[in-house]
Amino acid sequence: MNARPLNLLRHPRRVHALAAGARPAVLGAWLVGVLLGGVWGWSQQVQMDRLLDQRVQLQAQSSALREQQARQTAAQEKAQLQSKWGQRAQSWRAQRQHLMELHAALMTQAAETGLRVERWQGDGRQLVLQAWLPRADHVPVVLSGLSRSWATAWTLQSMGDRAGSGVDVVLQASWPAGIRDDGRRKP
Amino acid sequence: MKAQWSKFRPDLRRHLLVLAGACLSGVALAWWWWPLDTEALDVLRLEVAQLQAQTQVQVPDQPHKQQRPAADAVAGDEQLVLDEPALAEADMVWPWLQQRMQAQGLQVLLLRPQAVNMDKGLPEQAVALRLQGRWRDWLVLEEALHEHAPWWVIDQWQVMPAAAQSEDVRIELQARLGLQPPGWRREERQRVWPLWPQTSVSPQTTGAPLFASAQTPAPLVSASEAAGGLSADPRGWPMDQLRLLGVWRQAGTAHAVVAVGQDPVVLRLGQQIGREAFRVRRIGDDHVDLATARTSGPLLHLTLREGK
Repeated sequence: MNARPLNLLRHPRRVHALAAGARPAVLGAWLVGVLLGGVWGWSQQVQMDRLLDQRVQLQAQSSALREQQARQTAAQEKAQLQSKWGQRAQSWRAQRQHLMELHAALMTQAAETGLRVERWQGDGRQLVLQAWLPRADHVPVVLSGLSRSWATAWTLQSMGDRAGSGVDVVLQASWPAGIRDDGRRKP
Repeated sequence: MKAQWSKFRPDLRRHLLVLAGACLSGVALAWWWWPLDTEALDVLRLEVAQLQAQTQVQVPDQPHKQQRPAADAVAGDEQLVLDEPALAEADMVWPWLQQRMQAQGLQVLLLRPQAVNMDKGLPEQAVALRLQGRWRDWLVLEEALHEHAPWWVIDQWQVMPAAAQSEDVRIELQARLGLQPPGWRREERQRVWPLWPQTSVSPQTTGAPLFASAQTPAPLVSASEAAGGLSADPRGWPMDQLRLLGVWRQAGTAHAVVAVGQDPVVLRLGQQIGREAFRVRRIGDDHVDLATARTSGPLLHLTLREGK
Protein backbone atom coordinates (compact mmCIF):
# COMPACT_ATOMS: atom_id res chain seq x y z
CA MET A 1 0.00 0.00 0.00
CA ASN A 2 1.50 3.24 -1.17
CA ALA A 3 -0.31 6.08 0.41
CA ARG A 4 0.24 9.63 -0.56
CA PRO A 5 2.07 11.48 2.15
CA LEU A 6 0.24 14.33 3.79
CA ASN A 7 2.18 17.52 3.93
CA LEU A 8 1.17 18.86 7.24
CA LEU A 9 3.22 21.98 6.70
CA ARG A 10 1.22 23.13 3.69
CA HIS A 11 -2.29 22.05 4.54
CA PRO A 12 -2.91 24.25 7.57
CA ARG A 13 -1.47 27.12 5.65
CA ARG A 14 -4.10 26.88 2.90
CA VAL A 15 -6.91 26.67 5.37
CA HIS A 16 -5.62 29.66 7.22
CA ALA A 17 -5.29 31.61 4.00
CA LEU A 18 -8.96 30.97 3.06
CA ALA A 19 -10.27 31.98 6.46
CA ALA A 20 -8.15 35.05 6.60
CA GLY A 21 -9.29 36.26 3.17
CA ALA A 22 -12.92 35.53 3.75
CA ARG A 23 -13.24 37.06 7.19
CA PRO A 24 -14.26 40.59 6.10
CA ALA A 25 -16.58 39.21 3.49
CA VAL A 26 -18.20 36.86 6.01
CA LEU A 27 -18.57 39.68 8.42
CA GLY A 28 -20.09 41.81 5.70
CA ALA A 29 -22.47 39.04 4.73
CA TRP A 30 -23.47 38.59 8.32
CA LEU A 31 -24.10 42.31 8.68
CA VAL A 32 -26.11 42.32 5.49
CA GLY A 33 -28.12 39.44 6.91
CA VAL A 34 -28.69 41.32 10.13
CA LEU A 35 -29.71 44.38 8.13
CA LEU A 36 -32.12 42.44 5.94
CA GLY A 37 -33.63 40.72 8.95
CA GLY A 38 -33.96 44.04 10.72
CA VAL A 39 -35.57 45.74 7.76
CA TRP A 40 -38.03 42.90 7.39
CA GLY A 41 -38.89 42.91 11.05
CA TRP A 42 -39.19 46.69 11.04
CA SER A 43 -41.53 46.56 8.04
CA GLN A 44 -43.69 43.97 9.80
CA GLN A 45 -43.80 46.09 12.92
CA VAL A 46 -44.75 49.14 10.88
CA GLN A 47 -47.50 47.14 9.23
CA MET A 48 -48.74 45.94 12.60
CA ASP A 49 -48.84 49.47 13.96
CA ARG A 50 -50.65 50.70 10.88
CA LEU A 51 -53.26 47.94 11.17
CA LEU A 52 -53.79 48.68 14.85
CA ASP A 53 -54.37 52.34 14.08
CA GLN A 54 -56.70 51.43 11.27
CA ARG A 55 -58.63 49.09 13.55
CA VAL A 56 -59.12 51.82 16.13
CA GLN A 57 -60.36 54.21 13.46
CA LEU A 58 -62.69 51.64 11.93
CA GLN A 59 -64.08 50.67 15.30
CA ALA A 60 -64.86 54.30 16.06
CA GLN A 61 -66.38 54.71 12.61
CA SER A 62 -68.47 51.59 13.04
CA SER A 63 -69.66 52.72 16.43
CA ALA A 64 -70.59 56.14 15.07
CA LEU A 65 -72.41 54.47 12.22
CA ARG A 66 -74.41 52.29 14.60
CA GLU A 67 -75.32 55.32 16.66
CA GLN A 68 -76.38 57.15 13.52
CA GLN A 69 -78.52 54.21 12.45
CA ALA A 70 -80.09 54.03 15.89
CA ARG A 71 -80.82 57.76 15.78
CA GLN A 72 -82.35 57.44 12.33
CA THR A 73 -84.51 54.51 13.42
CA ALA A 74 -85.65 56.41 16.49
CA ALA A 75 -86.40 59.50 14.40
CA GLN A 76 -88.34 57.40 11.91
CA GLU A 77 -90.39 55.76 14.65
CA LYS A 78 -91.05 59.13 16.20
CA ALA A 79 -92.19 60.56 12.87
CA GLN A 80 -94.52 57.59 12.32
CA LEU A 81 -95.98 57.97 15.79
CA GLN A 82 -96.44 61.68 15.25
CA SER A 83 -98.16 60.99 11.96
CA LYS A 84 -100.57 58.54 13.61
CA TRP A 85 -101.12 61.04 16.38
CA GLY A 86 -102.01 63.78 13.94
CA GLN A 87 -104.31 61.43 12.04
CA ARG A 88 -106.09 60.54 15.24
CA ALA A 89 -106.56 64.20 16.11
CA GLN A 90 -107.89 64.95 12.63
CA SER A 91 -110.23 61.96 12.66
CA TRP A 92 -111.62 62.82 16.07
CA ARG A 93 -112.04 66.46 15.15
CA ALA A 94 -113.97 65.49 12.01
CA GLN A 95 -116.23 63.19 14.01
CA ARG A 96 -116.99 65.88 16.57
CA GLN A 97 -117.70 68.43 13.87
CA HIS A 98 -120.03 66.09 12.00
CA LEU A 99 -121.91 65.30 15.16
CA MET A 100 -122.26 68.95 16.09
CA GLU A 101 -123.55 69.75 12.61
CA LEU A 102 -126.07 66.97 12.96
CA HIS A 103 -127.19 68.30 16.33
CA ALA A 104 -127.64 71.72 14.78
CA ALA A 105 -129.71 70.16 12.00
CA LEU A 106 -131.87 68.40 14.57
CA MET A 107 -132.51 71.70 16.32
CA THR A 108 -133.43 73.27 12.99
CA GLN A 109 -135.85 70.46 12.25
CA ALA A 110 -137.36 70.81 15.71
CA ALA A 111 -138.05 74.45 14.99
CA GLU A 112 -139.26 73.99 11.42
CA THR A 113 -141.22 70.75 11.53
CA GLY A 114 -141.97 70.30 15.19
CA LEU A 115 -139.72 67.25 15.44
CA ARG A 116 -139.53 65.87 18.96
CA VAL A 117 -136.88 63.26 19.69
CA GLU A 118 -137.68 60.45 22.08
CA ARG A 119 -134.44 58.54 21.68
CA TRP A 120 -131.24 59.55 19.98
CA GLN A 121 -128.51 56.99 19.89
CA GLY A 122 -125.42 56.08 17.94
CA ASP A 123 -122.64 53.60 17.95
CA GLY A 124 -119.87 52.54 15.66
CA ARG A 125 -122.17 51.41 12.90
CA GLN A 126 -125.32 53.46 12.81
CA LEU A 127 -127.28 56.35 14.19
CA VAL A 128 -130.89 55.86 15.17
CA LEU A 129 -133.39 58.61 15.82
CA GLN A 130 -136.72 57.71 17.35
CA ALA A 131 -138.94 60.73 17.16
CA TRP A 132 -142.41 62.19 16.78
CA LEU A 133 -143.60 64.47 14.02
CA PRO A 134 -146.87 66.41 14.04
CA ARG A 135 -147.48 65.59 10.38
CA ALA A 136 -146.54 62.62 8.26
CA ASP A 137 -145.69 64.82 5.28
CA HIS A 138 -142.82 66.26 7.32
CA VAL A 139 -141.00 62.95 7.17
CA PRO A 140 -139.37 63.66 3.80
CA VAL A 141 -138.44 67.16 4.97
CA VAL A 142 -136.74 65.82 8.06
CA LEU A 143 -134.98 63.09 6.10
CA SER A 144 -133.62 65.46 3.52
CA GLY A 145 -132.66 67.99 6.20
CA LEU A 146 -130.71 65.43 8.17
CA SER A 147 -129.15 63.92 5.07
CA ARG A 148 -127.80 67.34 4.11
CA SER A 149 -125.94 67.48 7.42
CA TRP A 150 -124.58 63.98 7.32
CA ALA A 151 -122.32 62.23 4.86
CA THR A 152 -124.67 59.29 4.39
CA ALA A 153 -128.39 59.36 3.65
CA TRP A 154 -130.95 59.06 6.41
CA THR A 155 -133.65 56.46 5.83
CA LEU A 156 -137.05 55.85 7.30
CA GLN A 157 -137.07 52.57 9.14
CA SER A 158 -140.58 52.62 10.47
CA MET A 159 -143.51 54.93 10.85
CA GLY A 160 -146.61 54.66 13.00
CA ASP A 161 -149.67 56.71 13.75
CA ARG A 162 -150.12 58.11 17.22
CA ALA A 163 -153.89 58.17 17.64
CA GLY A 164 -154.45 60.92 15.16
CA SER A 165 -151.86 63.29 16.61
CA GLY A 166 -148.83 63.02 14.42
CA VAL A 167 -146.61 60.11 13.56
CA ASP A 168 -143.88 58.23 15.34
CA VAL A 169 -140.89 57.58 13.14
CA VAL A 170 -137.64 55.75 13.42
CA LEU A 171 -134.92 57.17 11.20
CA GLN A 172 -131.56 55.63 10.63
CA ALA A 173 -128.20 56.49 9.06
CA SER A 174 -124.88 54.73 8.90
CA TRP A 175 -121.52 56.11 9.93
CA PRO A 176 -119.64 57.40 6.92
CA ALA A 177 -116.44 55.42 6.40
CA GLY A 178 -114.42 58.60 5.92
CA ILE A 179 -114.98 59.95 9.39
CA ARG A 180 -115.31 56.75 11.31
CA ASP A 181 -112.52 55.84 13.66
CA ASP A 182 -112.35 52.17 12.70
CA GLY A 183 -110.00 51.34 15.52
CA ARG A 184 -112.63 51.42 18.22
CA ARG A 185 -116.10 52.09 16.92
CA LYS A 186 -117.27 48.54 17.24
CA PRO A 187 -120.25 48.11 19.49
CA MET B 1 -28.44 25.36 -12.05
CA LYS B 2 -26.43 22.62 -10.52
CA ALA B 3 -24.21 22.54 -13.62
CA GLN B 4 -23.65 26.25 -13.37
CA TRP B 5 -22.86 25.91 -9.70
CA SER B 6 -20.26 23.23 -10.45
CA LYS B 7 -18.57 25.56 -12.90
CA PHE B 8 -17.37 27.63 -9.98
CA ARG B 9 -14.08 26.72 -8.49
CA PRO B 10 -14.32 24.71 -5.29
CA ASP B 11 -12.75 27.41 -3.19
CA LEU B 12 -15.19 30.00 -4.64
CA ARG B 13 -18.14 27.74 -3.94
CA ARG B 14 -16.96 27.30 -0.42
CA HIS B 15 -16.60 31.02 -0.16
CA LEU B 16 -20.09 31.71 -1.37
CA LEU B 17 -21.54 29.12 0.99
CA VAL B 18 -19.76 30.69 3.88
CA LEU B 19 -21.06 34.11 2.90
CA ALA B 20 -24.63 32.84 2.52
CA GLY B 21 -24.40 31.12 5.88
CA ALA B 22 -23.17 34.32 7.46
CA CYS B 23 -26.03 36.28 5.87
CA LEU B 24 -28.62 33.80 7.05
CA SER B 25 -27.19 33.80 10.53
CA GLY B 26 -27.49 37.56 10.49
CA VAL B 27 -31.12 37.36 9.41
CA ALA B 28 -31.79 34.77 12.08
CA LEU B 29 -30.20 36.96 14.69
CA ALA B 30 -32.31 39.92 13.64
CA TRP B 31 -35.42 37.79 13.69
CA TRP B 32 -34.54 36.50 17.12
CA TRP B 33 -33.79 39.95 18.39
CA TRP B 34 -37.04 41.42 16.88
CA PRO B 35 -39.67 38.73 17.34
CA LEU B 36 -43.03 39.21 15.56
CA ASP B 37 -46.24 37.23 16.00
CA THR B 38 -47.20 36.64 12.41
CA GLU B 39 -50.37 34.83 13.49
CA ALA B 40 -51.56 37.89 15.40
CA LEU B 41 -50.77 40.00 12.37
CA ASP B 42 -52.96 37.79 10.19
CA VAL B 43 -55.81 37.98 12.71
CA LEU B 44 -55.48 41.73 12.77
CA ARG B 45 -55.56 41.93 8.98
CA LEU B 46 -58.77 39.86 8.93
CA GLU B 47 -60.37 41.98 11.62
CA VAL B 48 -59.56 45.19 9.78
CA ALA B 49 -60.95 43.78 6.54
CA GLN B 50 -64.23 42.90 8.31
CA LEU B 51 -64.50 46.35 9.86
CA GLN B 52 -63.89 47.94 6.47
CA ALA B 53 -66.67 45.85 4.98
CA GLN B 54 -69.04 46.90 7.78
CA THR B 55 -68.33 50.58 7.51
CA GLN B 56 -68.66 50.52 3.73
CA VAL B 57 -72.35 49.66 4.19
CA GLN B 58 -73.79 53.14 4.03
CA VAL B 59 -76.84 54.14 6.06
CA PRO B 60 -79.70 54.58 3.58
CA ASP B 61 -80.95 58.14 3.36
CA GLN B 62 -84.43 56.99 2.37
CA PRO B 63 -85.93 57.05 5.85
CA HIS B 64 -85.12 60.75 6.10
CA LYS B 65 -86.96 61.38 2.88
CA GLN B 66 -89.89 59.20 3.89
CA GLN B 67 -90.44 60.74 7.26
CA ARG B 68 -90.47 64.28 5.94
CA PRO B 69 -93.90 64.18 4.27
CA ALA B 70 -95.38 62.60 7.37
CA ALA B 71 -93.84 65.28 9.53
CA ASP B 72 -95.10 67.97 7.17
CA ALA B 73 -98.59 66.52 7.21
CA VAL B 74 -98.61 66.57 10.96
CA ALA B 75 -97.12 70.01 11.35
CA GLY B 76 -100.55 71.59 11.24
CA ASP B 77 -101.77 69.38 14.04
CA GLU B 78 -98.64 69.65 16.14
CA GLN B 79 -100.02 72.26 18.47
CA LEU B 80 -103.27 70.37 18.66
CA VAL B 81 -101.70 67.08 19.65
CA LEU B 82 -99.07 68.58 21.93
CA ASP B 83 -101.87 70.13 23.89
CA GLU B 84 -103.28 66.74 24.77
CA PRO B 85 -102.89 65.70 28.40
CA ALA B 86 -99.83 63.66 29.22
CA LEU B 87 -100.17 60.19 30.69
CA ALA B 88 -99.37 61.52 34.13
CA GLU B 89 -102.12 64.10 33.81
CA ALA B 90 -104.85 61.61 32.93
CA ASP B 91 -106.13 61.48 36.49
CA MET B 92 -106.52 65.24 36.60
CA VAL B 93 -108.76 65.34 33.55
CA TRP B 94 -111.82 63.84 35.17
CA PRO B 95 -112.29 66.24 38.11
CA TRP B 96 -111.76 69.10 35.68
CA LEU B 97 -114.28 67.64 33.22
CA GLN B 98 -116.81 67.05 35.97
CA GLN B 99 -116.39 70.61 37.14
CA ARG B 100 -116.91 71.95 33.61
CA MET B 101 -120.04 69.86 33.12
CA GLN B 102 -121.50 71.00 36.40
CA ALA B 103 -120.60 74.59 35.61
CA GLN B 104 -122.64 74.22 32.44
CA GLY B 105 -125.62 73.06 34.45
CA LEU B 106 -125.34 69.36 33.76
CA GLN B 107 -125.67 66.87 36.54
CA VAL B 108 -123.01 64.17 36.47
CA LEU B 109 -124.68 60.92 37.50
CA LEU B 110 -121.81 58.66 36.53
CA LEU B 111 -118.21 59.20 35.50
CA ARG B 112 -116.25 56.00 35.23
CA PRO B 113 -112.82 56.16 33.58
CA GLN B 114 -111.39 52.90 32.31
CA ALA B 115 -107.76 51.85 32.24
CA VAL B 116 -105.42 53.59 29.83
CA ASN B 117 -105.16 51.64 26.62
CA MET B 118 -102.52 51.83 23.87
CA ASP B 119 -103.92 51.95 20.36
CA LYS B 120 -101.23 51.92 17.63
CA GLY B 121 -98.73 53.29 20.13
CA LEU B 122 -101.04 56.12 21.19
CA PRO B 123 -102.46 56.06 24.70
CA GLU B 124 -106.12 56.73 25.21
CA GLN B 125 -108.54 56.31 28.05
CA ALA B 126 -112.15 55.31 27.68
CA VAL B 127 -114.77 56.75 29.99
CA ALA B 128 -118.41 55.99 30.66
CA LEU B 129 -120.57 59.03 31.44
CA ARG B 130 -124.14 59.52 32.48
CA LEU B 131 -125.43 63.05 32.62
CA GLN B 132 -128.72 64.76 33.15
CA GLY B 133 -129.65 68.27 32.18
CA ARG B 134 -130.96 70.42 29.41
CA TRP B 135 -130.06 69.36 25.88
CA ARG B 136 -129.07 72.88 24.95
CA ASP B 137 -126.59 72.93 27.84
CA TRP B 138 -125.04 69.79 26.47
CA LEU B 139 -124.77 71.42 23.05
CA VAL B 140 -122.98 74.40 24.55
CA LEU B 141 -120.62 72.11 26.45
CA GLU B 142 -119.99 70.03 23.35
CA GLU B 143 -119.04 73.12 21.42
CA ALA B 144 -116.83 74.47 24.19
CA LEU B 145 -115.01 71.18 24.61
CA HIS B 146 -114.46 71.00 20.88
CA GLU B 147 -112.91 74.44 20.96
CA HIS B 148 -110.95 74.41 24.21
CA ALA B 149 -110.22 70.74 24.86
CA PRO B 150 -110.21 68.90 21.55
CA TRP B 151 -108.75 65.63 22.81
CA TRP B 152 -111.78 63.41 22.95
CA VAL B 153 -114.22 61.55 20.79
CA ILE B 154 -117.61 60.03 21.50
CA ASP B 155 -117.90 56.38 20.56
CA GLN B 156 -121.45 55.61 21.64
CA TRP B 157 -124.30 57.66 22.99
CA GLN B 158 -127.93 57.49 23.92
CA VAL B 159 -130.05 60.51 24.75
CA MET B 160 -133.57 60.29 26.08
CA PRO B 161 -135.94 62.68 27.79
CA ALA B 162 -135.47 62.41 31.53
CA ALA B 163 -139.12 62.95 32.49
CA ALA B 164 -142.45 63.67 30.88
CA GLN B 165 -142.89 67.26 32.04
CA SER B 166 -139.26 68.23 32.00
CA GLU B 167 -136.85 69.76 29.54
CA ASP B 168 -134.08 67.59 30.92
CA VAL B 169 -132.53 64.75 29.02
CA ARG B 170 -130.51 61.82 30.20
CA ILE B 171 -127.29 61.41 28.26
CA GLU B 172 -125.27 58.22 28.36
CA LEU B 173 -121.91 58.32 26.69
CA GLN B 174 -118.95 56.14 25.93
CA ALA B 175 -116.09 58.43 25.04
CA ARG B 176 -112.34 58.28 24.65
CA LEU B 177 -109.76 60.73 25.87
CA GLY B 178 -106.60 61.06 23.78
CA LEU B 179 -103.32 61.24 25.67
CA GLN B 180 -99.80 62.12 24.64
CA PRO B 181 -97.42 59.23 24.01
CA PRO B 182 -94.97 58.72 26.87
CA GLY B 183 -91.93 60.98 26.88
CA TRP B 184 -93.19 63.25 24.18
CA ARG B 185 -93.73 66.55 25.91
CA ARG B 186 -91.01 68.91 24.76
CA GLU B 187 -91.00 71.36 27.58
CA GLU B 188 -91.91 70.89 31.16
CA ARG B 189 -94.54 73.43 31.87
CA GLN B 190 -97.43 73.55 34.23
CA ARG B 191 -100.61 72.61 32.44
CA VAL B 192 -103.37 75.13 32.61
CA TRP B 193 -106.67 73.35 32.29
CA PRO B 194 -108.93 75.33 30.00
CA LEU B 195 -111.74 77.26 31.57
CA TRP B 196 -114.47 79.15 29.84
CA PRO B 197 -117.38 81.12 31.16
CA GLN B 198 -120.72 79.45 31.22
CA THR B 199 -122.01 80.78 27.98
CA SER B 200 -125.57 81.47 27.25
CA VAL B 201 -127.13 79.33 24.61
CA SER B 202 -125.79 79.83 21.13
CA PRO B 203 -128.09 80.65 18.20
CA GLN B 204 -127.92 77.00 17.18
CA THR B 205 -129.32 75.84 20.47
CA THR B 206 -132.17 78.24 20.81
CA GLY B 207 -135.65 77.56 19.59
CA ALA B 208 -138.05 74.76 20.13
CA PRO B 209 -137.10 71.98 22.50
CA LEU B 210 -135.77 68.99 20.65
CA PHE B 211 -136.46 66.24 23.14
CA ALA B 212 -139.87 65.25 24.42
CA SER B 213 -141.15 62.05 25.84
CA ALA B 214 -144.17 60.40 24.28
CA GLN B 215 -147.36 61.76 25.83
CA THR B 216 -149.35 58.81 24.64
CA PRO B 217 -146.86 56.06 24.16
CA ALA B 218 -147.65 54.09 21.11
CA PRO B 219 -145.57 51.12 20.13
CA LEU B 220 -143.57 51.81 17.04
CA VAL B 221 -144.47 49.51 14.25
CA SER B 222 -143.26 49.20 10.76
CA ALA B 223 -145.04 51.36 8.23
CA SER B 224 -146.18 48.27 6.41
CA GLU B 225 -147.75 47.03 9.62
CA ALA B 226 -149.38 50.32 10.52
CA ALA B 227 -152.56 49.81 8.59
CA GLY B 228 -154.89 50.21 11.55
CA GLY B 229 -158.13 48.42 10.95
CA LEU B 230 -157.06 47.64 7.44
CA SER B 231 -154.74 44.93 6.32
CA ALA B 232 -151.04 45.55 6.94
CA ASP B 233 -150.47 44.78 3.30
CA PRO B 234 -151.19 47.90 1.17
CA ARG B 235 -152.26 45.59 -1.65
CA GLY B 236 -155.52 45.16 0.22
CA TRP B 237 -156.22 48.87 0.65
CA PRO B 238 -159.17 50.68 -0.97
CA MET B 239 -157.78 53.07 -3.54
CA ASP B 240 -160.56 55.62 -3.18
CA GLN B 241 -159.26 56.53 0.31
CA LEU B 242 -155.64 56.78 -0.70
CA ARG B 243 -153.85 60.12 -0.10
CA LEU B 244 -150.33 61.28 -0.88
CA LEU B 245 -148.59 62.61 2.24
CA GLY B 246 -145.09 63.29 0.96
CA VAL B 247 -142.39 62.59 -1.57
CA TRP B 248 -138.63 62.45 -1.14
CA ARG B 249 -135.61 61.14 -2.92
CA GLN B 250 -133.03 59.04 -1.20
CA ALA B 251 -129.85 57.81 -2.87
CA GLY B 252 -131.39 58.61 -6.25
CA THR B 253 -134.54 56.62 -5.53
CA ALA B 254 -137.88 58.36 -5.21
CA HIS B 255 -140.19 57.40 -2.35
CA ALA B 256 -143.76 58.37 -1.71
CA VAL B 257 -145.59 58.34 1.61
CA VAL B 258 -149.23 57.47 1.09
CA ALA B 259 -151.94 56.71 3.58
CA VAL B 260 -155.42 55.47 3.97
CA GLY B 261 -156.89 57.50 6.79
CA GLN B 262 -154.05 57.95 9.29
CA ASP B 263 -152.08 54.93 8.22
CA PRO B 264 -149.07 55.86 6.11
CA VAL B 265 -146.92 53.57 4.01
CA VAL B 266 -143.81 54.22 1.93
CA LEU B 267 -143.97 53.29 -1.75
CA ARG B 268 -141.27 52.82 -4.35
CA LEU B 269 -141.50 52.62 -8.12
CA GLY B 270 -143.15 49.42 -9.31
CA GLN B 271 -144.65 48.59 -5.95
CA GLN B 272 -148.16 47.17 -6.02
CA ILE B 273 -150.96 48.76 -3.99
CA GLY B 274 -154.73 48.53 -3.74
CA ARG B 275 -157.28 45.86 -4.38
CA GLU B 276 -157.27 46.85 -8.05
CA ALA B 277 -153.57 45.90 -8.28
CA PHE B 278 -152.26 49.35 -9.06
CA ARG B 279 -148.52 49.79 -9.48
CA VAL B 280 -146.49 52.91 -8.91
CA ARG B 281 -145.53 54.15 -12.37
CA ARG B 282 -144.00 57.49 -11.59
CA ILE B 283 -143.06 59.49 -8.53
CA GLY B 284 -142.69 63.19 -9.19
CA ASP B 285 -141.70 66.01 -6.87
CA ASP B 286 -145.29 66.53 -5.72
CA HIS B 287 -147.29 63.74 -7.28
CA VAL B 288 -147.46 59.99 -7.83
CA ASP B 289 -148.91 58.16 -10.83
CA LEU B 290 -150.37 54.73 -10.34
CA ALA B 291 -151.70 52.44 -13.04
CA THR B 292 -152.95 48.92 -13.38
CA ALA B 293 -151.16 46.32 -15.43
CA ARG B 294 -153.76 46.56 -18.17
CA THR B 295 -152.95 49.21 -20.74
CA SER B 296 -156.57 50.26 -20.95
CA GLY B 297 -156.88 50.33 -17.18
CA PRO B 298 -157.47 53.46 -15.09
CA LEU B 299 -154.64 55.84 -14.22
CA LEU B 300 -154.55 57.30 -10.73
CA HIS B 301 -152.82 60.63 -10.14
CA LEU B 302 -152.12 61.55 -6.52
CA THR B 303 -150.89 65.01 -5.72
CA LEU B 304 -149.84 66.60 -2.49
CA ARG B 305 -152.39 69.43 -2.57
CA GLU B 306 -155.54 67.89 -3.80
CA GLY B 307 -154.83 64.63 -2.08
CA LYS B 308 -156.15 62.65 -4.99
